[in-house]
Amino acid sequence: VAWKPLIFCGACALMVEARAYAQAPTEEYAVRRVTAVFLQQHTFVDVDFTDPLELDDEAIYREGNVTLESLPSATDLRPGKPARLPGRRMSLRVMYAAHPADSDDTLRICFAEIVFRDPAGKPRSAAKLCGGATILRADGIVAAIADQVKTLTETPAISTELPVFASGFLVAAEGETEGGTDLHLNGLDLGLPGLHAFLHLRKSSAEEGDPRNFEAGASYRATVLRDTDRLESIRAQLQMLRRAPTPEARLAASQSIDETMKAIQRQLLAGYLFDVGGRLEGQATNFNVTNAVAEVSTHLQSRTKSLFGARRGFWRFRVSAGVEAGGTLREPDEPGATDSVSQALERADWIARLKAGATLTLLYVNDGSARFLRRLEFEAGVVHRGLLVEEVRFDDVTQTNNTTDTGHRPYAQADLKAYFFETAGARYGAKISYAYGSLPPVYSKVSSVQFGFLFERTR
Amino acid sequence: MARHRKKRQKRAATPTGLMREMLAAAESAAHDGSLEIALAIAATTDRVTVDTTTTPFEARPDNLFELTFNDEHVGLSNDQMAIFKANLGVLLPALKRDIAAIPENANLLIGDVARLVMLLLLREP
Repeated sequence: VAWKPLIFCGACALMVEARAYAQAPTEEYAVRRVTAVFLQQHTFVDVDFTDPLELDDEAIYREGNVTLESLPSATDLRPGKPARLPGRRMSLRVMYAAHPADSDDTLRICFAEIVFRDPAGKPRSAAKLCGGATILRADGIVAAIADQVKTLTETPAISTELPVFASGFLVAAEGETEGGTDLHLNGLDLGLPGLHAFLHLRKSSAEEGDPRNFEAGASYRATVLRDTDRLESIRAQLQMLRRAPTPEARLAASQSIDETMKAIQRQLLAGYLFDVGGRLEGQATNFNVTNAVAEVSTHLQSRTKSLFGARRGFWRFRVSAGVEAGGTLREPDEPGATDSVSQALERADWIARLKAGATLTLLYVNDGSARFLRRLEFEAGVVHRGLLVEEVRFDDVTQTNNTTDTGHRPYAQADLKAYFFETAGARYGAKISYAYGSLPPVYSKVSSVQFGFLFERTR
Repeated sequence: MARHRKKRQKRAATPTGLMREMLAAAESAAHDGSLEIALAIAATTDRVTVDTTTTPFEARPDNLFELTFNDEHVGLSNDQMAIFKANLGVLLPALKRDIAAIPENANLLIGDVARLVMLLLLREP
């Protein structure tokens, strides 16, 4: 593959990205959601608030701070004191001793005082906070599970990961306006565990910036863990922890769990992913070349590792290898035609490729020591395809699919994002992307750099 | 003398009303699947740690369940969601089929997955 000089973007673009990072505080200082459970062995109420609590403030836990009644009978459920929940700053759990009447369907909980922590880190007291919920009994569990599954499946997937093993994208421009699209729909749930649909479209009007790539298909994924034995050991120790007859036995079990987890965290690889799937790949957007391709691939997935052992960032990688096989669906317009495009299509019948690739993600978050740089994100991906049989190739000179070829087809893409300013709800920076190589089905050469300013919402 | 010592030991081992409530809440929290979720995440990323020697357990970051899986303090990718789900399936084998149905979307709120697991455990006899 001949090296082409890079093309630098003449007109800078403004890129807008959105990510939902956390359950953001709303500064409403109210009850957000109540989950009231009344089952044979479980009688508790979980209360989620709109803002973080001042969990060390004694006022939250004082006697008589909580009143709990079931409605419409107004039965006092004799609540205990609120307890904090591990890993949560915005929730409390309240156990209760009495049973609601059989005819009751609603539970109402009130706090005489709740102390929140405002965005400045100062305590903020709120009086008489109440919330209610339908009582969750045994006959309502299945419907509650269905509701929660719906919540999960309806959560939008915001992917900033480079899907380069499947493909990649960039835009180049020099002195004129160029446009393109980079559409990735990944992980579309087909209702069967492990089975996902995907769609990728990469198209640009820029010279040497157009991969002419469209892919749509489905794949099934199986996962094999690297540390199954250690996790099974943790599971056994968890059972011992919960049944421990003495504090000493409890401590021994918990220490064993923590030690085993530390051993897992020292490992680099987390597991192996196996994908089997099929897809339609076409020349975007005219489908002059269209292939049906089956793919089998395996991936070595790393754990997320702290950057240089510090808490200020992380890195992770994935190494992939696979086989692609299939056939060309597009036939020449006229059988026996002698023009070069028809003859190229005539020669290309089957698809047989080997491919290998890797992706690397790196994140650095400034702890305040650097004055301007707030955050740095780097993501790079490379895939190398070896074509075992002749496939159609796009000719940059004639701008037609008039040749066929075998051999090596690499493709690499790297994104670097640097953020310089940050507010409570957004961050501002710049992004530079580099791409080089070619992608199926027509292997149009790509070599370009894109630069743009970045605005990213963090809530 | 021995009888007095035995009496003192018994009194010391008997939890007060407040302690009982706290222990009951801690036990409840320990059985709702949140510990298994925290451990399954910690087995996928160094960014999260779990201390089980305390009651209830402590997770770092201390608002773990209020973050998304792809939060910078957690650092999971969509592909690593498959690893997380497999980890969780080992720790909660009775729920393996249900866990498999969780979308491999790192933009999910960890607390939403925890709520699903809690409901699934409540369903178990």
